[in-house]
Amino acid sequence: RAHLRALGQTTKIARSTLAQVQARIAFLREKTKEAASAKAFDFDQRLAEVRM
Amino acid sequence: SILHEKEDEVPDVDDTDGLDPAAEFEAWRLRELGRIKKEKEDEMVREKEREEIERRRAMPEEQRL
Amino acid sequence: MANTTITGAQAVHGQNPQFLVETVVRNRIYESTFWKEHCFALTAESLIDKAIEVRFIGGVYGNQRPTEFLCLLLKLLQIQPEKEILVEYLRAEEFKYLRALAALYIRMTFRAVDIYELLEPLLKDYRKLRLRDMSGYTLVFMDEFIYSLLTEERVCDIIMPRIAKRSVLEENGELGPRKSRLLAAMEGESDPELEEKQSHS
Repeated sequence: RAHLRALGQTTKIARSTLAQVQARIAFLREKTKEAASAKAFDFDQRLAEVRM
Repeated sequence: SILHEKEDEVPDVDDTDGLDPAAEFEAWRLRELGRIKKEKEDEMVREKEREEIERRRAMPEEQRL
Repeated sequence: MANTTITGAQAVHGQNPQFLVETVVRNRIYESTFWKEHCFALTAESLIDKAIEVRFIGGVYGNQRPTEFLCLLLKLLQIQPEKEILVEYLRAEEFKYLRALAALYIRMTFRAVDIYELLEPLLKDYRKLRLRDMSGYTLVFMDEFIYSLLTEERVCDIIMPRIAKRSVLEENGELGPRKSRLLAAMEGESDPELEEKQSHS
């Protein structure tokens, strides 16, 4: 620890705020939603191709 | 290595939800019923214990033991 | 120092929160690759990304290897996020493994009344969770997992801190009776949650 301090690095872990946590969850929620709809789109696309 | 392959093996149980919504709900209903039943039984046991304590309290001193 | 509890952490049940995971298991976690490579600088925010990638819950498996789930639990004990953050994890319902992790942490560190009030509503969540233990993989349901947290002495190879019985808290007036949505439905009561949903559609 003293060694890291000597190098000017902090040994403390930054604490996240509630707002940061909420924002991260909202972001991941959107991202997984996109992934799910992309998959669905892919499926519909394939199905359409089969019909043709 | 074999060890590494083992580590990466795909889990052999599927955790996908909603494959059979009706059956999944029904299974939950039965589990929840089991929990409710157990809670009621525990409550009855506690009720009995309370009654027993009351009964003993109401007894004259010399009969308690 | 990667293994020390955050400065200013509150003692939980009278001890360093990390000690809630017994020494043998804790040392296994410190030695694990996942801990060393992925948990080092995690914060309450970046831990979410790891938690939603978790593929199974459980304690140790195989040759006493800790699951990633268990590593993340220890990390939470180390960084001790605020109560509201844990509630936020619990509310992010599409991420079921994050929810399971938050539920376990809450059970281990929160006050009894808060534990019942936060976890009991999750008894209606019947999604599937993979569990990995010494015997391999099995399927459990979220409601079963939550119920085990409320009733069992050992979950995911961790001894659960003692918790006051629900009935005792009810008698003290600290807790109202448990509300089962199923029971309410069977007794023909209106379901406030359902009405809420219908009025929005």
